[in-house]
Amino acid sequence: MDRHGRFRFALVALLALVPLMALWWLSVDGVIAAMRPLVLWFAAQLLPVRDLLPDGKGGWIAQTSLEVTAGKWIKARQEANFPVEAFLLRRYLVAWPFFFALALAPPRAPRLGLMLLAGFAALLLIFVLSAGAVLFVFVAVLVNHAPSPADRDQLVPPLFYVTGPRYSDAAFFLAGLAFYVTSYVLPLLAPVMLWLGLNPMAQRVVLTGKSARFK
Amino acid sequence: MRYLTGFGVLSIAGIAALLVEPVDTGFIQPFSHGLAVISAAAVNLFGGNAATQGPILRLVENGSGVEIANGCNAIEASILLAAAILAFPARLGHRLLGATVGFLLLQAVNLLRIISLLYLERYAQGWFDFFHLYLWDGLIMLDGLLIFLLWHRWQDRPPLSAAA
Repeated sequence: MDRHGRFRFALVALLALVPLMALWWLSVDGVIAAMRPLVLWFAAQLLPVRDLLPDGKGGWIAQTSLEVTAGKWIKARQEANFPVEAFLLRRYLVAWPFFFALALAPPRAPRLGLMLLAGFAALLLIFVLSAGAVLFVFVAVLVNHAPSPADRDQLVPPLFYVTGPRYSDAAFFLAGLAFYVTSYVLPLLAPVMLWLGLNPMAQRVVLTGKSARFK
Repeated sequence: MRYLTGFGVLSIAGIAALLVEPVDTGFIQPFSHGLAVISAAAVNLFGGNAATQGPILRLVENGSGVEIANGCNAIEASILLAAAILAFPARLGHRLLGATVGFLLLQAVNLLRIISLLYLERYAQGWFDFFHLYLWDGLIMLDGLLIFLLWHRWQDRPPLSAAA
């Protein structure tokens, strides 16, 4: 990409980002709410998660089927719950305005509408996997009763203990890695990878260095 | 495909290394402390009055401040950029130079991010979370992409003798 091409690319992407971020901010909590049943279904297949309840602030309260066994005075059986903060869930969707901004900047894909639709669908799938990863790390911290290597200050066990088989050290590390990748890496990487994967013109310019005709 | 595989392996290895405790305590945390010190120096150079306490950067007059935690030091973006450059089929010297200069450029932009967040926290708290959690990450990503495109163009330039 020559200097003129780079300048046009950066300018259009940055200008497009302004309305796209506003649109994202206005719609993100609605999308998160709409995706909750799908995330619950996905998580319930793999984790002891019974329900995801809205917390009224855009986030969720995850109800597990793990019984609290010690560290907390209880009269009857009580299950462990944990909050999933709204900001985490929003981060898992923040890739879409950046993906759209990249897609709208030249060099554009020949079938732009199809590319935007496919990218958006892929980002929703990534959201489900990312939300599943955050549930996984919270459950792993609960069950193993140890801080996650992904964040030794924030992802710490509560004051109570729960039933349930411990995860192996490798699985516990994997839970932390999955959380770290989905929270800090995928929001950066997903827009670029989707843009490259779905736009042959961008592939041509970025991966081969051959110039493209700018629309 | 070979390039994407190389990029994926280098990225995952780099990110996984961040989670290993000795790497975190021996490299990442001191690096974040260093970023705080450089940010404070930059603020003071332009007439502000900032101080640091470990990874915390704060304005002296009112004590408001920000902590440079993991995820705020642009290490992840630097790893992705370095992986994208190092896995690219180019001359080794060009790749090493590109990864080093790219890291420095990305960190320079990250200093702007840290300082802007310091002042947003002081003067526009309502916008702090929006910039901190959502917008700046994407801008760092765009910056990394532009650095990659610049490097790509540079390493692909014709030799001087051929150009003459």
